[in-house]
Amino acid sequence: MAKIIRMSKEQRENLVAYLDGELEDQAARELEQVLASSPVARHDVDMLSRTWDLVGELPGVSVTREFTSKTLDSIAASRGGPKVDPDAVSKNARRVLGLVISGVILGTAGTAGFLAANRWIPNEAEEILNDYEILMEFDKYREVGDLENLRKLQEFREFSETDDEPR
Amino acid sequence: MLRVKKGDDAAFTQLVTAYQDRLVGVLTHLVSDRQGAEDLAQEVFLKIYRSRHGYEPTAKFSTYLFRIANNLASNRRRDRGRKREVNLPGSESGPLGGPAAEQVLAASSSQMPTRRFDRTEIQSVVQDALESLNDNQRMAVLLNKFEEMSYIDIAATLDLSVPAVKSLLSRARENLRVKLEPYVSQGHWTPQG
Repeated sequence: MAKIIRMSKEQRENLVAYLDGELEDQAARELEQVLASSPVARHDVDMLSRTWDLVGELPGVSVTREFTSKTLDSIAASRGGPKVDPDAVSKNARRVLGLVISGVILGTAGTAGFLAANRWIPNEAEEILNDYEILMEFDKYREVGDLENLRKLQEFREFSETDDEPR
Repeated sequence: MLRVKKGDDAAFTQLVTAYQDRLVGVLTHLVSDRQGAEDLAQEVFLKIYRSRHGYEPTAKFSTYLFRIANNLASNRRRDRGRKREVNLPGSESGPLGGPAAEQVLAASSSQMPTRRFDRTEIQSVVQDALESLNDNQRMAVLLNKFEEMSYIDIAATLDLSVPAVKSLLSRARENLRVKLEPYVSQGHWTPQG
């Protein structure tokens, strides 16, 4: 008849680690010897194992989509970033596009107005620049008077030049 | 998590999606309150996100996650302990919505020899047995059972030595055995697969 070996306190404490596969080899072998000879120890192991299985009857948990979005929203809020709302994004895009188009229209109208004003409205400074050479000789022209005087003066100069030529 | 550290927010969304069920599951059994567990889980994810720049991959991400979860749960329990001066009368139902374990036991005691339990009742009994454990024992049991964590990982999560975890789980499982043995030995419950 096989000798019954009593479990030591330490071996009793090792039962769970043995069931979990966490016991060192030597200690596991010693415990197996005790289990082989002790119905009480085998009963304890059996009950530990079956009650452990019962813990597995606790219900599993699946979170809702709402939980996920609430969690991600709280993280977005911690970043200081606003929630991403696709409708808000398209509204903002439309607003920016409207501002750009308005800017282009205003710019084009301004440029066209400037060019038109430059072309058709007389510019006093430009007229003076065009007549610059005449204005520089204006005193002489005033002394000459009209065209008849100028012709007489021309004839007089022609005679005097002929007289001066060496013979 | 390393991608999150580098600023990849999409990677954090993936982490939340991958771990949320596991985290809320463990926390629900830890605090015995689904809504409280969800609030706590959100706090855990937020804390991880806020401390992402200091993250160092010294352990598995799950160890890091449950370590933070355990710390926050402990803080919350401590805060509640301070507020527990005013006690509310017991509710009609158990913490997870099923019948209270005491009611199950009272109803079943007279019928103990023949009565079989349905799944909701047995879940309530198991939850009650879990609640009889201290906080560290309960967390160690949940990590061991539902996360299938090794003693080394449980030690890292609970900030204990491996021998301390071995001793903790031994006591916890023995306590559960004492509470639950009547239900398995007298055939009140047999697993239905």
